[in-house]
Amino acid sequence: METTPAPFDLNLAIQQWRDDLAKSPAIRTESLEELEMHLRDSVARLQARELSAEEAFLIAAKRMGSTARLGAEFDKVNSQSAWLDRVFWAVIIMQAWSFFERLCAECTILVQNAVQNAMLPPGAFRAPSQNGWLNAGIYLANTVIPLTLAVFLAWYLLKSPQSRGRLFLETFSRRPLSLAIIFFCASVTVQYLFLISIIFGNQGIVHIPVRAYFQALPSQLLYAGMIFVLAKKRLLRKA
Amino acid sequence: MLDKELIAASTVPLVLSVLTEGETYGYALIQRVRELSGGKIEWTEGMLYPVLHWMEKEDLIESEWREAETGRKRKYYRLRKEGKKALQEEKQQWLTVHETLEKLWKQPQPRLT
Repeated sequence: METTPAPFDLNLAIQQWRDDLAKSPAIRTESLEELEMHLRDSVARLQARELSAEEAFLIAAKRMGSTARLGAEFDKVNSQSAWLDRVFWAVIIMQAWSFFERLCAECTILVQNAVQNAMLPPGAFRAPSQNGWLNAGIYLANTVIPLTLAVFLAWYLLKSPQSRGRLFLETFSRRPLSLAIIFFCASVTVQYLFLISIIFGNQGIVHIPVRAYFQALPSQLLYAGMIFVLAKKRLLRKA
Repeated sequence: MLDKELIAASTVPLVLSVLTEGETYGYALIQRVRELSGGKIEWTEGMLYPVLHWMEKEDLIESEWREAETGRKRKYYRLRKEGKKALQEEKQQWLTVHETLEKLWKQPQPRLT
Protein backbone atom coordinates (compact mmCIF):
# COMPACT_ATOMS: atom_id res chain seq x y z
CA MET A 1 0.00 0.00 0.00
CA GLU A 2 1.43 3.39 -0.95
CA THR A 3 1.94 5.84 1.88
CA THR A 4 1.61 9.55 1.22
CA PRO A 5 4.94 11.37 1.42
CA ALA A 6 5.43 13.54 4.49
CA PRO A 7 4.43 17.18 3.90
CA PHE A 8 7.36 19.48 3.28
CA ASP A 9 8.57 21.09 6.48
CA LEU A 10 10.31 24.37 5.62
CA ASN A 11 11.82 24.95 9.03
CA LEU A 12 13.17 21.42 9.14
CA ALA A 13 14.68 21.78 5.68
CA ILE A 14 16.33 25.08 6.63
CA GLN A 15 17.62 23.56 9.87
CA GLN A 16 19.15 20.63 7.93
CA TRP A 17 20.71 23.04 5.43
CA ARG A 18 22.14 25.04 8.31
CA ASP A 19 23.47 21.95 10.09
CA ASP A 20 25.17 20.97 6.85
CA LEU A 21 26.84 24.38 6.67
CA ALA A 22 27.79 24.23 10.35
CA LYS A 23 30.00 21.22 9.59
CA SER A 24 32.45 23.68 8.04
CA PRO A 25 34.59 24.91 10.92
CA ALA A 26 35.41 28.08 8.99
CA ILE A 27 31.82 29.33 9.24
CA ARG A 28 31.15 30.87 12.63
CA THR A 29 27.79 31.01 14.40
CA GLU A 30 27.36 34.67 13.51
CA SER A 31 27.83 33.90 9.81
CA LEU A 32 25.45 30.94 10.06
CA GLU A 33 22.81 33.26 11.51
CA GLU A 34 23.31 35.68 8.67
CA LEU A 35 23.23 33.03 5.96
CA GLU A 36 20.08 31.49 7.42
CA MET A 37 18.40 34.90 7.54
CA HIS A 38 19.34 35.44 3.90
CA LEU A 39 17.91 32.07 2.92
CA ARG A 40 14.66 32.87 4.69
CA ASP A 41 14.40 36.25 2.97
CA SER A 42 15.04 34.53 -0.35
CA VAL A 43 12.42 31.84 0.29
CA ALA A 44 9.86 34.43 1.36
CA ARG A 45 10.50 36.41 -1.83
CA LEU A 46 10.03 33.35 -4.00
CA GLN A 47 6.91 32.24 -2.16
CA ALA A 48 5.45 35.71 -2.82
CA ARG A 49 5.82 34.81 -6.51
CA GLU A 50 3.50 31.86 -5.98
CA LEU A 51 6.07 29.14 -5.66
CA SER A 52 5.44 26.40 -3.14
CA ALA A 53 7.54 26.29 0.01
CA GLU A 54 9.48 23.30 -1.31
CA GLU A 55 10.16 24.90 -4.71
CA ALA A 56 11.15 28.18 -3.06
CA PHE A 57 13.52 26.41 -0.69
CA LEU A 58 15.20 24.40 -3.48
CA ILE A 59 15.79 27.47 -5.63
CA ALA A 60 16.92 29.65 -2.73
CA ALA A 61 19.34 26.99 -1.50
CA LYS A 62 20.75 26.56 -5.00
CA ARG A 63 21.26 30.31 -5.30
CA MET A 64 23.18 30.38 -2.02
CA GLY A 65 25.91 28.25 -3.48
CA SER A 66 27.30 24.90 -2.42
CA THR A 67 28.25 24.25 1.17
CA ALA A 68 31.74 23.20 0.14
CA ARG A 69 32.37 26.43 -1.75
CA LEU A 70 31.00 28.60 1.04
CA GLY A 71 33.19 26.82 3.56
CA ALA A 72 36.24 27.26 1.33
CA GLU A 73 35.59 30.99 0.82
CA PHE A 74 35.10 31.65 4.53
CA ASP A 75 38.18 29.62 5.25
CA LYS A 76 40.24 31.79 2.89
CA VAL A 77 39.11 34.94 4.68
CA ASN A 78 39.69 33.57 8.15
CA SER A 79 43.09 32.02 7.64
CA GLN A 80 44.67 35.19 6.33
CA SER A 81 45.38 36.74 9.68
CA ALA A 82 44.83 33.67 11.83
CA TRP A 83 48.37 33.48 13.17
CA LEU A 84 48.37 37.11 14.26
CA ASP A 85 45.05 36.60 16.02
CA ARG A 86 46.43 33.56 17.83
CA VAL A 87 49.35 35.54 19.20
CA PHE A 88 46.97 38.29 20.30
CA TRP A 89 44.89 35.73 22.13
CA ALA A 90 47.99 34.42 23.88
CA VAL A 91 48.81 37.98 25.01
CA ILE A 92 45.19 38.56 26.10
CA ILE A 93 45.14 35.41 28.21
CA MET A 94 48.43 36.33 29.86
CA GLN A 95 47.17 39.85 30.50
CA ALA A 96 43.82 38.62 31.81
CA TRP A 97 45.53 36.20 34.16
CA SER A 98 47.95 38.86 35.38
CA PHE A 99 45.02 41.24 35.97
CA PHE A 100 43.06 38.55 37.78
CA GLU A 101 46.00 37.54 39.92
CA ARG A 102 46.73 41.14 40.86
CA LEU A 103 43.11 41.65 41.86
CA CYS A 104 43.16 38.52 44.03
CA ALA A 105 46.40 39.52 45.70
CA GLU A 106 45.06 42.97 46.55
CA CYS A 107 41.76 41.59 47.86
CA THR A 108 43.65 39.07 49.95
CA ILE A 109 45.68 41.79 51.66
CA LEU A 110 42.58 43.86 52.32
CA VAL A 111 40.53 40.96 53.69
CA GLN A 112 43.44 39.59 55.66
CA ASN A 113 43.96 42.89 57.43
CA ALA A 114 40.25 43.36 58.08
CA VAL A 115 40.00 39.87 59.60
CA GLN A 116 42.98 40.15 61.88
CA ASN A 117 42.15 43.68 62.95
CA ALA A 118 38.71 42.45 63.94
CA MET A 119 40.34 39.71 65.99
CA LEU A 120 42.80 41.89 67.85
CA PRO A 121 41.73 43.78 70.95
CA PRO A 122 41.65 47.56 70.49
CA GLY A 123 44.97 49.31 71.03
CA ALA A 124 47.02 46.19 70.40
CA PHE A 125 49.91 46.35 68.02
CA ARG A 126 48.79 45.63 64.50
CA ALA A 127 51.23 43.68 62.43
CA PRO A 128 50.82 41.83 59.16
CA SER A 129 49.29 38.46 59.83
CA GLN A 130 51.70 35.66 60.61
CA ASN A 131 49.03 33.04 60.29
CA GLY A 132 49.93 31.07 57.14
CA TRP A 133 46.67 29.12 57.12
CA LEU A 134 44.60 32.27 57.35
CA ASN A 135 46.51 33.88 54.51
CA ALA A 136 46.27 30.76 52.35
CA GLY A 137 42.58 30.37 53.09
CA ILE A 138 41.80 33.97 52.23
CA TYR A 139 43.86 33.84 49.04
CA LEU A 140 42.06 30.68 47.96
CA ALA A 141 38.67 32.19 48.68
CA ASN A 142 39.58 35.31 46.72
CA THR A 143 40.71 33.21 43.78
CA VAL A 144 38.24 30.32 43.73
CA ILE A 145 35.06 32.34 44.24
CA PRO A 146 35.55 34.84 41.38
CA LEU A 147 36.89 32.08 39.13
CA THR A 148 33.82 29.92 39.78
CA LEU A 149 31.54 32.89 39.12
CA ALA A 150 33.38 33.62 35.88
CA VAL A 151 33.10 30.01 34.70
CA PHE A 152 29.40 29.92 35.56
CA LEU A 153 28.82 33.21 33.75
CA ALA A 154 30.70 31.94 30.69
CA TRP A 155 28.67 28.71 30.65
CA TYR A 156 25.43 30.64 30.97
CA LEU A 157 26.30 33.03 28.15
CA LEU A 158 27.59 30.37 25.79
CA LYS A 159 25.26 27.43 26.37
CA SER A 160 22.74 28.40 23.73
CA PRO A 161 24.07 28.89 20.18
CA GLN A 162 21.39 31.53 19.63
CA SER A 163 22.08 33.41 22.81
CA ARG A 164 22.79 37.12 22.70
CA GLY A 165 25.78 36.46 24.90
CA ARG A 166 27.36 34.26 22.29
CA LEU A 167 26.72 36.75 19.48
CA PHE A 168 28.15 39.54 21.62
CA LEU A 169 31.26 37.53 22.46
CA GLU A 170 31.78 36.52 18.84
CA THR A 171 31.59 40.16 17.78
CA PHE A 172 34.13 41.02 20.45
CA SER A 173 36.30 38.08 19.50
CA ARG A 174 36.82 39.65 16.10
CA ARG A 175 38.85 42.36 17.78
CA PRO A 176 41.62 40.63 19.72
CA LEU A 177 43.80 43.73 19.46
CA SER A 178 41.19 45.82 21.28
CA LEU A 179 40.78 43.12 23.92
CA ALA A 180 44.53 42.93 24.47
CA ILE A 181 44.70 46.69 24.96
CA ILE A 182 41.67 46.71 27.29
CA PHE A 183 43.13 44.03 29.54
CA PHE A 184 46.50 45.72 29.58
CA CYS A 185 44.97 49.05 30.60
CA ALA A 186 42.75 47.36 33.20
CA SER A 187 45.77 45.62 34.70
CA VAL A 188 47.78 48.82 34.94
CA THR A 189 44.80 50.79 36.30
CA VAL A 190 44.05 48.29 39.08
CA GLN A 191 47.68 48.21 40.07
CA TYR A 192 48.11 51.94 40.32
CA LEU A 193 44.70 52.55 41.89
CA PHE A 194 45.73 50.35 44.76
CA LEU A 195 49.05 52.13 44.99
CA ILE A 196 47.27 55.49 45.21
CA SER A 197 44.76 54.19 47.77
CA ILE A 198 47.57 52.86 49.94
CA ILE A 199 49.54 56.09 49.75
CA PHE A 200 46.59 58.32 50.58
CA GLY A 201 44.50 56.00 52.72
CA ASN A 202 47.07 54.07 54.64
CA GLN A 203 46.52 54.28 58.35
CA GLY A 204 49.70 52.46 59.15
CA ILE A 205 47.88 49.15 59.19
CA VAL A 206 49.86 47.58 56.46
CA HIS A 207 53.35 48.25 55.36
CA ILE A 208 53.83 47.45 51.73
CA PRO A 209 57.02 48.80 50.29
CA VAL A 210 56.20 51.14 47.43
CA ARG A 211 58.86 49.53 45.29
CA ALA A 212 56.68 46.38 45.25
CA TYR A 213 54.32 48.20 42.92
CA PHE A 214 57.04 48.98 40.47
CA GLN A 215 58.23 45.40 40.35
CA ALA A 216 55.62 44.71 37.69
CA LEU A 217 56.81 47.56 35.49
CA PRO A 218 59.30 45.53 33.40
CA SER A 219 56.72 42.86 32.59
CA GLN A 220 54.15 45.55 31.80
CA LEU A 221 56.56 47.26 29.45
CA LEU A 222 57.22 43.89 27.86
CA TYR A 223 53.49 43.33 27.33
CA ALA A 224 53.02 46.82 25.93
CA GLY A 225 55.97 46.33 23.60
CA MET A 226 54.62 42.99 22.43
CA ILE A 227 51.17 44.41 21.72
CA PHE A 228 52.70 47.31 19.81
CA VAL A 229 54.96 45.15 17.66
CA LEU A 230 52.15 42.72 16.84
CA ALA A 231 49.70 45.49 16.11
CA LYS A 232 52.07 47.62 14.04
CA LYS A 233 50.89 46.08 10.81
CA ARG A 234 47.24 46.53 11.68
CA LEU A 235 47.67 50.04 13.06
CA LEU A 236 49.68 51.16 10.02
CA ARG A 237 46.93 49.96 7.72
CA LYS A 238 44.47 52.27 9.45
CA ALA A 239 46.72 55.30 8.94
CA MET B 1 26.98 36.27 -17.96
CA LEU B 2 29.99 38.27 -16.91
CA ASP B 3 33.48 36.90 -16.70
CA LYS B 4 34.06 35.30 -13.27
CA GLU B 5 37.17 37.34 -12.60
CA LEU B 6 35.46 40.56 -13.53
CA ILE B 7 32.66 39.74 -11.11
CA ALA B 8 35.20 38.99 -8.37
CA ALA B 9 37.12 42.22 -9.01
CA SER B 10 34.01 44.36 -9.07
CA THR B 11 32.37 42.98 -5.93
CA VAL B 12 34.13 45.22 -3.41
CA PRO B 13 33.62 48.52 -5.30
CA LEU B 14 29.99 47.58 -5.95
CA VAL B 15 29.35 46.83 -2.27
CA LEU B 16 31.07 50.04 -1.16
CA SER B 17 29.13 52.07 -3.71
CA VAL B 18 25.74 50.61 -2.76
CA LEU B 19 26.52 51.35 0.88
CA THR B 20 26.96 55.06 0.06
CA GLU B 21 23.21 55.03 -0.58
CA GLY B 22 22.69 54.13 3.04
CA GLU B 23 23.03 51.15 5.32
CA THR B 24 21.61 47.86 4.16
CA TYR B 25 21.75 44.10 4.65
CA GLY B 26 23.13 41.31 2.47
CA TYR B 27 19.96 40.24 0.69
CA ALA B 28 18.92 43.80 -0.16
CA LEU B 29 22.43 44.53 -1.42
CA ILE B 30 22.29 41.65 -3.90
CA GLN B 31 18.84 42.74 -5.08
CA ARG B 32 20.04 46.31 -5.59
CA VAL B 33 23.01 45.23 -7.69
CA ARG B 34 20.81 42.93 -9.77
CA GLU B 35 18.32 45.75 -10.27
CA LEU B 36 20.97 48.33 -11.23
CA SER B 37 22.64 45.98 -13.69
CA GLY B 38 19.34 45.00 -15.30
CA GLY B 39 19.85 41.44 -14.17
CA LYS B 40 23.27 41.12 -15.81
CA ILE B 41 25.18 40.95 -12.55
CA GLU B 42 23.97 37.88 -10.70
CA TRP B 43 26.08 37.01 -7.69
CA THR B 44 26.05 33.53 -6.20
CA GLU B 45 24.24 34.82 -3.16
CA GLY B 46 26.04 33.02 -0.38
CA MET B 47 29.42 34.15 -1.73
CA LEU B 48 28.71 37.76 -0.80
CA TYR B 49 29.05 36.96 2.87
CA PRO B 50 32.71 35.92 3.00
CA VAL B 51 33.41 39.17 1.12
CA LEU B 52 31.42 41.21 3.66
CA HIS B 53 33.24 39.37 6.42
CA TRP B 54 36.59 40.25 4.88
CA MET B 55 35.58 43.87 4.34
CA GLU B 56 34.55 44.14 7.97
CA LYS B 57 37.88 42.66 9.07
CA GLU B 58 39.63 45.29 6.96
CA ASP B 59 37.54 47.94 8.73
CA LEU B 60 36.01 49.18 5.49
CA ILE B 61 32.50 48.57 6.81
CA GLU B 62 30.86 47.98 10.16
CA SER B 63 27.83 45.94 11.09
CA GLU B 64 24.98 45.93 13.57
CA TRP B 65 22.40 43.29 14.37
CA ARG B 66 18.87 44.60 14.28
CA GLU B 67 15.48 43.02 14.64
CA ALA B 68 13.65 42.42 11.35
CA GLU B 69 9.89 42.47 10.79
CA THR B 70 9.79 38.71 11.22
CA GLY B 71 11.22 38.97 14.71
CA ARG B 72 14.50 37.39 13.72
CA LYS B 73 17.74 39.33 13.76
CA ARG B 74 19.31 40.73 10.65
CA LYS B 75 22.82 42.12 10.15
CA TYR B 76 22.96 45.62 8.74
CA TYR B 77 26.12 47.08 7.24
CA ARG B 78 27.27 50.63 6.84
CA LEU B 79 30.29 52.37 5.38
CA ARG B 80 33.19 53.47 7.54
CA LYS B 81 35.54 56.37 6.98
CA GLU B 82 38.23 53.96 5.76
CA GLY B 83 35.66 52.45 3.42
CA LYS B 84 34.87 55.82 1.89
CA LYS B 85 38.57 56.38 1.30
CA ALA B 86 38.96 52.92 -0.24
CA LEU B 87 35.97 53.60 -2.49
CA GLN B 88 37.61 56.78 -3.81
CA GLU B 89 40.73 54.80 -4.66
CA GLU B 90 38.73 52.07 -6.39
CA LYS B 91 36.82 54.73 -8.32
CA GLN B 92 40.07 56.25 -9.59
CA GLN B 93 41.32 52.87 -10.73
CA TRP B 94 38.11 51.87 -12.51
CA LEU B 95 37.75 55.25 -14.19
CA THR B 96 41.34 55.04 -15.43
CA VAL B 97 40.69 51.67 -17.05
CA HIS B 98 37.32 52.81 -18.38
CA GLU B 99 38.66 56.03 -19.92
CA THR B 100 41.55 54.25 -21.57
CA LEU B 101 39.30 51.60 -23.07
CA GLU B 102 36.83 54.26 -24.22
CA LYS B 103 39.55 56.12 -26.08
CA LEU B 104 40.61 52.93 -27.84
CA TRP B 105 37.06 51.93 -28.75
CA LYS B 106 36.18 55.42 -30.01
CA GLN B 107 38.99 55.36 -32.56
CA PRO B 108 37.65 54.89 -36.07
CA GLN B 109 38.51 51.49 -37.54
CA PRO B 110 41.11 51.65 -40.33
CA ARG B 111 39.53 51.02 -43.73
CA LEU B 112 41.19 48.64 -46.12
CA THR B 113 40.20 49.92 -49.54
